Amino acid sequence: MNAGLITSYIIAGILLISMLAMNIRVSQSSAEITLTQITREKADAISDMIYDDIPNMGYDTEGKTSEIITVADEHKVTFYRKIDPADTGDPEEITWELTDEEIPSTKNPDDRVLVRIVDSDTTKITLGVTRFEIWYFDDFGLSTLPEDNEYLPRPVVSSQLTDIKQLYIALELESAEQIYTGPGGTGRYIRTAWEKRYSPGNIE
Amino acid sequence: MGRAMLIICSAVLISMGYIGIGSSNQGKRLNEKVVNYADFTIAKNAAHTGIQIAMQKTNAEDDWPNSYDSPESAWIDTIQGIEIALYMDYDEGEEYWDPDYLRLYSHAEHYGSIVQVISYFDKSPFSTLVPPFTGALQLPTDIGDFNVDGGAHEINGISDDPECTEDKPPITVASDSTKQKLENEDLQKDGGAFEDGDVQVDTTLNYEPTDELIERLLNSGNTQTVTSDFGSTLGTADNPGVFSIEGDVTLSGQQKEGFGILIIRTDASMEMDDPELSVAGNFTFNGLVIFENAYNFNGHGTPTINGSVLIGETPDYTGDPIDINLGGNIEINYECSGENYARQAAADAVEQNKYTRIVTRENVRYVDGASDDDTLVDLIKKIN
Repeated sequence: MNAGLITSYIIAGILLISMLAMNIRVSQSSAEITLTQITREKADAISDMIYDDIPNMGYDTEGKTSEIITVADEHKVTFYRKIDPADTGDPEEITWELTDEEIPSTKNPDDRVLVRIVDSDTTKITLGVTRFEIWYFDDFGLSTLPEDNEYLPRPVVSSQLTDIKQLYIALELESAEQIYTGPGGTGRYIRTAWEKRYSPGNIE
Repeated sequence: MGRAMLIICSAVLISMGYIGIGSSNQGKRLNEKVVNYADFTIAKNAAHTGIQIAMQKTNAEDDWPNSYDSPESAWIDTIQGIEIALYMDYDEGEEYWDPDYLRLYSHAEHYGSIVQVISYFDKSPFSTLVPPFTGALQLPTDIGDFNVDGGAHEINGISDDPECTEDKPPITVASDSTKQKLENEDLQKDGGAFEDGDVQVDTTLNYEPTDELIERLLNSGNTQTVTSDFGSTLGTADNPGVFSIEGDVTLSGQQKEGFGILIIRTDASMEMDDPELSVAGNFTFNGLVIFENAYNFNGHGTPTINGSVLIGETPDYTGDPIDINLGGNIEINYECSGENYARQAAADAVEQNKYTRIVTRENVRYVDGASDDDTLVDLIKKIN
């Protein structure tokens, strides 16, 4: 056989194998990005709900609610707000809490049910939340890093609830399924994080 | 071999293109998320800024909110390239001191939905410029000589006005030394001579807030400066004024009453022209009378001041301490209505209102039945 032809087959083989390997890696990466995207969409859905609640705490039609924050704990916050500005009734009591209840529909052992309770109506959020943590600050200009321990001790005692001026919320979600890096490789869950520091206008 | 290499290269290029398109789409989706969040933040900030601009316009023109009182008549503006639409509910208090309430609805579009910010404000005259009256006669700085000529004068801390919820001491001073100078003289109040407690030391009393008040009033452009004989009105109950006496001034216009703030400044003096005064009977000023760096306060004549008289020196004053001579039939009465006239005069002069945000909320409102042709006002109508 012609030596040149053999060489070209070898080169072609190496190239094809390389392309195949790269394609597999890109496919895995694509799957990971897609999973990340899905997890982020879920985080966005939750953060949209949080955004609607937290900045509006204490809102009532003619003034602030008589009480604003009533519970301020590490994984739970309860406050009052009027949800519908046209409603003349009493403001609603809202609770956000990360429970210990596992989500049975996923294989992820770390995700928990996040609940939003409006008066007595409970909405269970089963989108793969693995962390929902809140820090409370009593003044402006402090470090934005909760690790600096400049936040109020949790649970915030009732006498300090009116001192709360800012809330720092950290939310983490993980995918329901694992992603594997290769045949026989150990899988891992895709994680996405969202953090925001709020200064609700009605508790300034 | 050439043909084989051509095939291989073509395959490589096609594969690379396929991978490239896939990666590009992923990146595009990630970028869209970031841009979406940035656009939302800009829309929200534009809606908040709209409220701030509306407050400034309301401050400049009281009736401005009434022109934009519904979604149909919303005020439209563009802030940072974002169109905003804002309308207001304006609840005006009946009396001057009754607060007005403003509810502002500010909107900016965000991908077919509406970012809505609602803020509720209390609008009151900017009246805190005037330091609270602590007594009928207030002496926040030390004085020179203090003389009383006769016993026809009166300094009263008990108000005759049923609207006043509390009485004040006839005289408040900032130091014990000033108090001693006063107690050595024969001071009179309604019902007889001064008693213990009628001259009170208030260590928080100082002239600085009054100094700042005068500076603001003089810079406002709405203080009437009087340098010679003056025959015009000295304010009315409905429209109290601020008057700065800077020279030897004689009230020659048969003025029986004045309302607001009267400032007698360095080396100035004010006398009621006797023939005119005899026609008018008594001259009464309702409000705050300030003697700033006036080297001599002569309380002779028959004026009545319902409100408070404040005598003091600015920190940079290097002249002699103010001597006070009380005589004749001067009457100084603490009145809360006089305090209100002074506050109203100051608020009207500086033309500023005090806005207190009572409560606020911000939301994304999703619009049912929105179409691409809808204007921002159309979208607002649909969420109401």
